Amino acid sequence: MEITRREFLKGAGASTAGLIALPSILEGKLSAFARASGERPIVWEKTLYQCCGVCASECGTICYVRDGHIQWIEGNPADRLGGYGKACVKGASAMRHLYDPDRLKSPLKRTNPKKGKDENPGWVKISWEEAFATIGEKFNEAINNHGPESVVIFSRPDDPCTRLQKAIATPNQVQHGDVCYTPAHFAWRVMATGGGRPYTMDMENAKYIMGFGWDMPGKSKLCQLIPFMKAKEKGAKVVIFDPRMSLTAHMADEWIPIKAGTDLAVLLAMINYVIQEDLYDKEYVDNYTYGFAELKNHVSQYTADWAADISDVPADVIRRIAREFATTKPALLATHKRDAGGPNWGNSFPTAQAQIILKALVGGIERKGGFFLPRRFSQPSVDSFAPATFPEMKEKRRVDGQHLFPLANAARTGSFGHIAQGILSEDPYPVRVGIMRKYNLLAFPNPDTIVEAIKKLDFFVVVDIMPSESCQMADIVLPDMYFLEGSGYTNRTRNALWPMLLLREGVGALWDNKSWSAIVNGILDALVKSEFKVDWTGYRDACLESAGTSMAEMRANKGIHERKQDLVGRTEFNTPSKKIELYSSILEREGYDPLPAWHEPYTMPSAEYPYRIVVNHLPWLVHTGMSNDPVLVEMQPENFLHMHPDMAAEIGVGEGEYVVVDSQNGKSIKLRAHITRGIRRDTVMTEHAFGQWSRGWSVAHGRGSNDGDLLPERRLEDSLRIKSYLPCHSAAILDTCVNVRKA
Amino acid sequence: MRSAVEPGVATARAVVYRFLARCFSFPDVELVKLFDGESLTECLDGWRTLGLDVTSEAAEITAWLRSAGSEAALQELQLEYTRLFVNAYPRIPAPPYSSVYLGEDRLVWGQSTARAAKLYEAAGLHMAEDFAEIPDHIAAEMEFASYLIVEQRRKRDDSSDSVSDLAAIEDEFLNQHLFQWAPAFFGRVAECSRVPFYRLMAEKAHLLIEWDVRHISGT
Repeated sequence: MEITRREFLKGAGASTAGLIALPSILEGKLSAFARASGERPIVWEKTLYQCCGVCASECGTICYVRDGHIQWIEGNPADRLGGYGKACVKGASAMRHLYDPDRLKSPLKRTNPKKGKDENPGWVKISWEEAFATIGEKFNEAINNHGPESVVIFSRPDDPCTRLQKAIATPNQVQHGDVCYTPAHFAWRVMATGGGRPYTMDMENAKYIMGFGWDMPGKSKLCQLIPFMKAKEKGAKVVIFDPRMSLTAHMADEWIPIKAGTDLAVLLAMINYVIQEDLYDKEYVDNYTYGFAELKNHVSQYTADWAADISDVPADVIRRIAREFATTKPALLATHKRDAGGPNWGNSFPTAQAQIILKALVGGIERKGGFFLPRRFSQPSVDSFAPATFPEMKEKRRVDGQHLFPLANAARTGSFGHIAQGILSEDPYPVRVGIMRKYNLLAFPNPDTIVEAIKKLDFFVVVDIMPSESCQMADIVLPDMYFLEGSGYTNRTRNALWPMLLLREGVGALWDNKSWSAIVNGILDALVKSEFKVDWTGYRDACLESAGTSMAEMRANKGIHERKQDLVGRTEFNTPSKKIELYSSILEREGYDPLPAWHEPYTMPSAEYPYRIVVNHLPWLVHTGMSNDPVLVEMQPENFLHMHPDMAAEIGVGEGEYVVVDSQNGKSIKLRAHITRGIRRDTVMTEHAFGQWSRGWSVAHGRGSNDGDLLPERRLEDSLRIKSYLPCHSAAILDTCVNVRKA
Repeated sequence: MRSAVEPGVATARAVVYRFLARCFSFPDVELVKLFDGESLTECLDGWRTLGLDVTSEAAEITAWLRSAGSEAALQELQLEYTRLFVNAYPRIPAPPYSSVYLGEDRLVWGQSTARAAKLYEAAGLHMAEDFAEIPDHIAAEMEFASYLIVEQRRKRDDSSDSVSDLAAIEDEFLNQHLFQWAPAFFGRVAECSRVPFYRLMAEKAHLLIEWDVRHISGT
């Protein structure tokens, strides 16, 4: 409601004489204020239920709004599957990210046509109308002149993204699968789930927990850390294979410092030993698995002595732990996504296969103390809620080459490892315009190449929260909403032992920022494709209704809607045989190795590059997401190169001194040495989420070096070279060797 | 109390605060009109009443607007406004929010924001829907200071009882809040601005705050 001079006069009645002289600048409508409440209300005091969006663990939290802003965040005790009433260091810090003055506040337009790491984009604030109109014009120009495939969308395949992709009819929706989870995800998909990897473990009831590079408790992932600690309290034995002593290894009963990239050898030997010694769960294997005879025959070649030579784990240790694992029930082989079966090595896919096989041999899937497929509320699809006739996607080939992996293409995993090369080489065709949401260019292997690729695009839009490296390359930046601003719900997938919805109540947009779904609707209007827009609030309510609840009811129920049920193990799986396919009939049908065989990683240490390098993610950071927090950054202001004392002596370096790390990919970075016995002497480690070059980060900029600079770009040709045992592209992000010298 | 300030001076203060609220809002054609239109004289009178002559600075800005052309000048102002106050590489040198200067953690929406916003509500105002900003944005605060003065004058004309309430709000707002951070903010703008407009206006705004502190503070 505007307040004008006229109103003053009206209200002032007879005594207006004095006001006639009011200077005209005081006559106009107020810009910042209104008389009526409710236009942009300040909520002074409220308890908000949230599902933490800092990492993907989906912990229920409670945000306390006092004096109009979130003052602290705690775990929601009603959430018995996520944080169990606790908030981790990241979740409890989220309000400092929400209130970071560096955040993107308004749509921005680039005025400096030159793009690069050292180029100031020269932002100017523009309206949403102008931003959408520009995007509509540039995208439609590309679509009309070069076909819809000339548009590339870098985003997770969430509902708004999928809608945008289908409306445009471009095959190029590219996400980060090959640098994050592809091998693990895909092995589960073909062998058991028909979908993705299950994130659900009944860890609390496990008596024996074994992991290969698995460090989720060390990443402050409460949905894994808390059950892990409960299991330990109840006496579970924990054994961690890792080239370095991770936090989880530190908490374990045994840390086995295995040679990096050789987990597959130990796993194959364990599988063989468990079968040869008759230690496997016969009832389970007979009833719920497929291909045991083929497996038995195939793995007989992999003895513990053979694996010991490769892995540097003594044969008697392999045998002893295999025996313990198979005879202590229930036993859990804990896996997530970026452990040994993640996209780390050229041999990670068979490693992921072998991990699933070993779990199945001890009856560790869909049984107490083991892995479970998530129990979720089913919900209507967006397309059933808002039916539309989408244009035909005529071009099936993708710029990231994923179409060459037909099985993976169906799973929409995407390739960050190859996309830059695809854009630069214009193979199979040129792309002209792009939009990227919530991805940092530093997440791409060898980020310099993606910088060059983005420069090649005629027009590039970034949707983000912070002025990241990606924003620095954008023509238009659109400010997204942080999870603490938006409202909605989450249908739990992590640790989903029973179906649970978590309410998300936000404080509303702080600035002129919009939700991703509203942004997609705006772009669809600008593309003259309004018929594909979705009433996202209506869709949300329809989903809640189908689960038998509503936002208001969830609020009354402490932010949770759940259908508690006993955990009854499945007897059928989503595979052609309806069993866990130790021998994958899908892989066989498509011409891939149906069973895991030993393969070396892409690279092996040499005289020139004698060391392996592994990367650690610090428990208080989520990639670069929290690295601009002045409080968290104090915990470790820069990353180090962790090395064994023997190695430090060999290269003549002392604690805290600078070293140069040279990678096989031709790049070098400089780091301070940290000397520790908690790592093999042939392996070095550094921490991720440093070396941010965007000067938009006022705290994070210029601290340490980016490990990604050392990592190889595993392009399509690399994956195709080992196609028989890699049905999905994997960036093999650790598969390189380095040299280390004193700076 | 406010009654100590004669009505002409009070109105002048209201004009100058409102003038500065415009100057520190995102630049649009209205801003160009302000410097090249009829209302400028009234604004300059306001400054002059306080003994703070900005005639030469305003003339310099008007001349620049005319020589550069209003469209080009506006683009330049928008670019600099974005760089100083919205988003920039490197970071914005002068975040226009009180809590960044008064809080411990360089965050927006702190206790000082709450103090300002509570005073807005006490004065019967709410944040406008299309003001997509944090409540303690400098433009809102300058506008609020102006509003309080005008409202007191109106209510005094009405012989309204609530004049003293508004006076108390103004006291608290200026002394406990605005004066605590505005000098640091305007100092940073004056230091960092690459166009004369923001440097000149920040310097003058600094003088206004000094004038106010001298004449209003503690009265």
